[in-house]
Order: sequence, then C-alpha cells, then structure tokens
Amino acid sequence: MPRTRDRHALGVLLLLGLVAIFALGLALVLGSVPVTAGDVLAVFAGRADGMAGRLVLELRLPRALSAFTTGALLAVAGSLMQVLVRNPLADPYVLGISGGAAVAALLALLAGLGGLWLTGSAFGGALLAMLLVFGLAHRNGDWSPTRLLLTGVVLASGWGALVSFLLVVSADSRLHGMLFWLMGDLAYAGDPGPALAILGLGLLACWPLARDLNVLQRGDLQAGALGVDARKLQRRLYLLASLLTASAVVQAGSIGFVGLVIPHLVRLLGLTDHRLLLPGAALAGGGLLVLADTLARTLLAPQQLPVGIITALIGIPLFLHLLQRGARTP
Amino acid sequence: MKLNTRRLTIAAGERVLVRELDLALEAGQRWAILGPNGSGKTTLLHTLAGLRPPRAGAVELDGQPLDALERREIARRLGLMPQDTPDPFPATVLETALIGRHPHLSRWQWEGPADRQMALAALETVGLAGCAHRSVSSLSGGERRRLAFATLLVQDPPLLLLDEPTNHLDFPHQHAVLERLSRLAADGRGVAMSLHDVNLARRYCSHALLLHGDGRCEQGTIDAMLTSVKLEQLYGMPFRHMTFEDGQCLVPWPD
Repeated sequence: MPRTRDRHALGVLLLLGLVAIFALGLALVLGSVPVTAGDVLAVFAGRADGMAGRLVLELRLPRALSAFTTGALLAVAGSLMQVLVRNPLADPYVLGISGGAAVAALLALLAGLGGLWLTGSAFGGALLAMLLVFGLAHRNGDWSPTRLLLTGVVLASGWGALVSFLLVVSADSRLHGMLFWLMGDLAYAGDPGPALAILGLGLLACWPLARDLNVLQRGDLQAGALGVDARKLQRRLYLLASLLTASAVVQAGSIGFVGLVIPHLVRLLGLTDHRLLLPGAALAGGGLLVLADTLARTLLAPQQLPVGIITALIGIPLFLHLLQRGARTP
Repeated sequence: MKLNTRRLTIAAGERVLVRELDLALEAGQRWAILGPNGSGKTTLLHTLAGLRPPRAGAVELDGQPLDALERREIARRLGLMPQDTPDPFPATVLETALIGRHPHLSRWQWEGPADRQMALAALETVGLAGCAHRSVSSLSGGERRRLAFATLLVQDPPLLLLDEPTNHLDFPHQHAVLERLSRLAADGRGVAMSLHDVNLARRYCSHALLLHGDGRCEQGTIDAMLTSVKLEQLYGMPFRHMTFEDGQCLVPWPD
C-alpha cells in the first residue's frame, strides 16, 4: 500500500501548522516597540511584567489572533464555495459576498451607527449578498455552477459600484474609516474570541462533510450516484460558507485573494482530499494573513497599510509561481 | 436483486420520451438501451438510478420504491456510470477511483488497505494500473472513460447502469469493457447500458429496450429486437443483415 502519499499529506499539514505558529510568533515580536522572543516566552510562562507584557497580551496577541482567524475563515469559506460552484475561481470576494457586507456596513456608517449595529449590518449584508447570488442563479429550479459564478461576478461589480458611490457622496471626515471596508484592514478588529469560536464551530460542522465534498466536486450526478444527497449538501455548504464569510468581513472588512488563492495553493501542495484540505486551508489562510498583517504594520511604520494591499502583493506572485510549477509536473 | 419500473412515464419539458414503461432488470441480464439521439436514453438511466423524478409511475428496487430509500442505501445496490464526469479540481487517478467506496464507508471511516486494493485491482482491469498516481487532467478522453468505469467497479453494486460506456474507447477497450460486464452479469449482477453500436449490443447483451423518443418503447430478447426491420423503424434508416461463415452483423445502409 503506497503510504508515501499519506505521509506526504500529513507532512504538508504539519508544515502549514509550523508556518502558522512561526507567523504568529513573528507578529508578537515585530512592531514599533522592540520585543524579544525571550519576552514573549516569559509572557506565556505567566511572568508578564511591564510594558512588553502588556503590549504583547493586550495589543499584539489579539490582533495576530484576529488576523489568523480572518484568514482561516476566508480560506475555509473559499474552499466550500469552490466545491459549491464547482469552479476554482469562486471565493467570497469574487462572488460579491464581501461586497454586500461592505455596502451594508457603509450604509450603517452613513446613518451614524456604530459598534454592534455596524457588525450586525455587515453580517446582514453578507447573508443578503449570498441569498441574492444563489436566489438569482437558482430561479428555474436548476443550480448551474457556471450561472452561479457569473451571477456572483456581476453582482460583485455592482456592489463595488455602490461602494464607490457611497464613498463619493460621503463627507471627507468619514472617508478614512470607510476605506477600511473597501480594502480590508485589521486595525479595527476587536476581541478575536467570537470569530475564533465561529471558526472552530465552522470547521467542526464541515469536517464531517469532507468526504461528501470529495464526491460533490465531481458533479451532482456522480455525487448522487455515489449516495450523496447533493441538494441537501449544497444547502448546508451555502449556509456554512455565508456564516464564515460574514464573520470574516465583520472582523476585517473585505479582504480579497485569501479565499481564492489559499484553497488552490493547498491543493497544489498535494492536499486534494477535503478531510485534509479544509484544516490545511485554515492553517495556510491564517498564517498568510498574520504575515501580511505584520508586514502591513511594520513596512511603512508608523504608517499602517490596509492588509488587503499586502495579501495581494504576497499572494499574486506566490500563486503564479505555484501555478507555473504545478503545470510542469504532471 | 431486481430493478423494475411500474407504468413509468418520463418527459423532458412538454415532450414525453417514455410512456408507461414496465421494465424488469434482473440478476444475470444484460440490457441494451437503444434509440436515436435525444430519445431519452440518458434521462431514462438517470430516472432508473433515482436521480431524476419521473413524470408518472415508479421505479422499484427489490420491490421498494426508490424514493422511499436513502440515497446511500441505493448507492450500495445500484451504480451509475454517467456519460461524462467533470474533474474541475486536481486529483490523482487512484483518488478518483477510490471515491467509488464512498457509499460503503461510514461517516468517520477512512479508506483502508482493502479499499485501496480494490481500487488498484479495478485500475488494473481497465488498463490504468500504471497511471495510478498520475493526475486525472493528464488522461485522454478514452482513459477518462475507463477511469469512470473503474470507479463503478470500485463501487461494486449488484446492479449496474451505464450511459454509453464505450464512448471514446478504441475497439479493444470497447470489447474489454463489455466483456467485463458480461462476466459480472454471469456472476449474478444486472446490467443495463445505453449503446449506439447495434453489433456490440448483439454480441454482449441479452435483452434490448428500444426508445423511439415519442413515448413508444419496445422490449424483448436481443434477437427479437435487433432485426433490420425494427432498427429501420427505430433509426429511420435502412439496415442490411450480413452473414459470414462464423457470424453475422447489422450494418446501416443508406439508400
């Protein structure tokens, strides 16, 4: 029995885990105030004292965890959507889910709302956008993946236009806070606890479906013939992907690219079985966003960049490189 | 193990393709489903597999209506090889064949050595053993068809439905696939497949179902169905019966 492939897959998973831990460590150490690795270890050993301890525990750790959670949520949501639409081009950003959330959040900001209201409306916007995409594409009782993708892409550009419109008509003083929803930024992320819980629950909910996903990605017909109730599974995936995306958007605005590239990257690394792909995508997405956010904080310090810019700058060359390499090896 | 239909009517939109069909597919039988393009062969196979609701009537598996059974339960007894199997995501040949085990594994179970052995044996049967770790996207059209057949063999159901299993295959592989199906039927399985080659049907099938595409169907033993008269009525084109010292064949012969 060729166990080498299994060992390879577990190795990749382990590697992604180490990368994620390394990224989290880096995020705690780097910043405008120098903190050494020794300081960080001391903090975790319970010997937190003084400035460094408070900085790590109250500022850097929550932000790093927020970045990790957001990246993981987006990557897992992207993986689910790609199976749902049966197309590797789908992700929350491309399908306009992030756009819908951004429009709802901007409207709330214009109405002078904040706090929980803002969060709630972003969440509602994401769900509404998802309903719109699937409702419009599903109308004739036939769930065509191509039509789903096209509907999503068209709606995404519609949301984009609405966002631009809202930015143009709003007062200059509000513009800076609003740009956040457009480009994605972790500077405003609050307590990572709720999102972390949703990530955990989401993974627990979709992992038992992972083998069904392996079958569903080969079409409704093949899935049905192998005993998977495709309609029921699609409805579940749809709900799960909406929930995960909405939580990510509420946390950090609309960050593109992670949901699209990470599932692809993880597949190119050899994790094609969804039982390994889903945890792999969570680790890789989380790790990538932590690295990107650390760069966003430090690259032009004290100026902070929106993390969306960095994910694109890291992600695009990485993706193109892997695609090239993947094309050469059969 | 038996699959039968009761006054089954299937339609595509307003067009009735099959009207009130009573069919019984039993162990040991090999049915050929013949008919012109668009006459409903694929639609009938999907309906027989429980993947499409009929307009009227019912499909029964061992006397139980299909819609009363769970999909997983159906998949353990009845397999379908679809006309095409899309592969939008990267996967190896072995992984693709292994998904045939899906209905036999419980939710938390992983494919074990026995499942893997079965998949490798099926790949051996269809001549893809050497490609087990190659990417599916590197396969040719005919090799993909053979992989789909291997997946069905890995599913290993007592009743097998196949939608044009010989499509894209070269002549030796066409015969190899049908030979294998004949042996499965001899071992007590039931087989039904749509075909376009009447001579392959004649050689490898025991029964035939002719779909005229307007609701009319005819069924019977292969010799009773595959006559030049019936085939001319079915395809709207003359057929010639040719006899050799050691066999005979039917050839479409336009005027």
